[in-house]
Amino acid sequence: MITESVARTVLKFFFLAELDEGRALSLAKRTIDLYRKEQQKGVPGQIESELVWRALREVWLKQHESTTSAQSIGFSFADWRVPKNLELGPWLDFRKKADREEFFAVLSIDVMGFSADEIAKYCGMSRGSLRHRLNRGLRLLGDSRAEGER
Amino acid sequence: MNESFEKSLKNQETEFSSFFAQELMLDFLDGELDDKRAAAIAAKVSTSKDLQKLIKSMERGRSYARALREIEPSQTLLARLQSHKAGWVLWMDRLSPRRWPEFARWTFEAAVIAMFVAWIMSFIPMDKLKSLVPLGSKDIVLHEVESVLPPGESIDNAIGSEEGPSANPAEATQEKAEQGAETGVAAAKPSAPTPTPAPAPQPKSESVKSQEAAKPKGFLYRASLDVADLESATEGVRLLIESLEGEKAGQVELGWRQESGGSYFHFSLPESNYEALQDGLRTFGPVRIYRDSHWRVMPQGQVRIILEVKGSAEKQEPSP
Repeated sequence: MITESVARTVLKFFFLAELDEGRALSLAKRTIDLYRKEQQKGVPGQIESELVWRALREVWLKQHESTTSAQSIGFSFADWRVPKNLELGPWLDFRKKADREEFFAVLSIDVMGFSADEIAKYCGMSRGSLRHRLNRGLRLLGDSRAEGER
Repeated sequence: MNESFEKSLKNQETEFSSFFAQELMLDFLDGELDDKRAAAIAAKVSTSKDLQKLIKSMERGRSYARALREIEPSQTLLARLQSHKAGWVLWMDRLSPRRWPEFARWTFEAAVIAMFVAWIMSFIPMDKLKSLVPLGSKDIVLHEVESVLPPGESIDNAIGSEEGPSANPAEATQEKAEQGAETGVAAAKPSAPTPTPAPAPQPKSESVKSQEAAKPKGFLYRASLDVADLESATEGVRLLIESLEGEKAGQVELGWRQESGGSYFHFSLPESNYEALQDGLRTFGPVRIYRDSHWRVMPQGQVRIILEVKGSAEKQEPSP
């Protein structure tokens, strides 16, 4: 049994990455399976968050490679609590415009609330590269948001 | 580009270009720059409308990203994910023998054990083991006897010579005649009432004798009865045997008349009636019975008897 915190992180990441609750649940399940496999290996020194993020990124990269932009558009979130005044259009726009790594940086750090140090460590990246992608990603997201407000 | 960028960072007097200022904007907003660099960026931003626009855009992006944090999955969805089991785990659960019906589980276990035993047995050299274990089967003895008989003679003939007359009366007559010729009695006096000599046993090889001695055997009762009136005694004995549920065992009828003049009874009888038979026979005359070992084993509760009835007249006539 996984903790609620892990389930929430994985589900939320894939929901915001896919904007489709069915696909999000399916990818989250794959991530949990992979996470459990890694957990069974029991590599010393690896903490839960690290295992979760490694599994999450592996599944997400595979999904990203196999999905075309047309397939990835969806607005199904009956089982999600979305604030009423929150527009998802800018996010969708940003998702189309941003490069894969920029999108990942913004989603994992500014949306999910993890620190750049954590994500860089868990996903095997340098902190500088990650913050550089975040810099560009936030600029793009701000532009998308501004376009949405107009 | 990296080298010039590093140089510009190190050169504190140098003003940042708009490009470098853009690249450092996130660090500037997050307060991760040292004071001098932060001051340089701030100076640049104050004079550049593009950079001011950029900062606004990034702050807008950041506030929007943080607003997205409010999105939360329902408890149902969380529970579904938490209770999720991998496909192979589900299949393992479904196929687990604990879920099988008891009959199927026992059958499967029995099959596995049987296969294991068969696999082990395939490594055991059974031929060698057979040669080590002494076999008590009579079939083997028969085979060995047959191997020492002269060619053309069957085992039934050999047995027949032990039992007395051959199963075929014609052949039996022939045998008696041959025996007579050998003893010099039958040829001279074919109708003389001479006691039938027991046929000479076939010479056996030492191996057969030892085999026979080692093997468990059945038995046969050989009896002879001396009577005054052969005709009436023969009929009486036949009725006695039939009344005691005796049945002929060979091919000849009960009371078959021998060339030598006696009558011959080869029959099987329930063992429980054996005593009654003895008593009955004694009413006809003196009886001699002895038990002879024999390779043939009768069914449980049955005995086999060969009885020769001889008239007194035959007995009184001495054989030469």
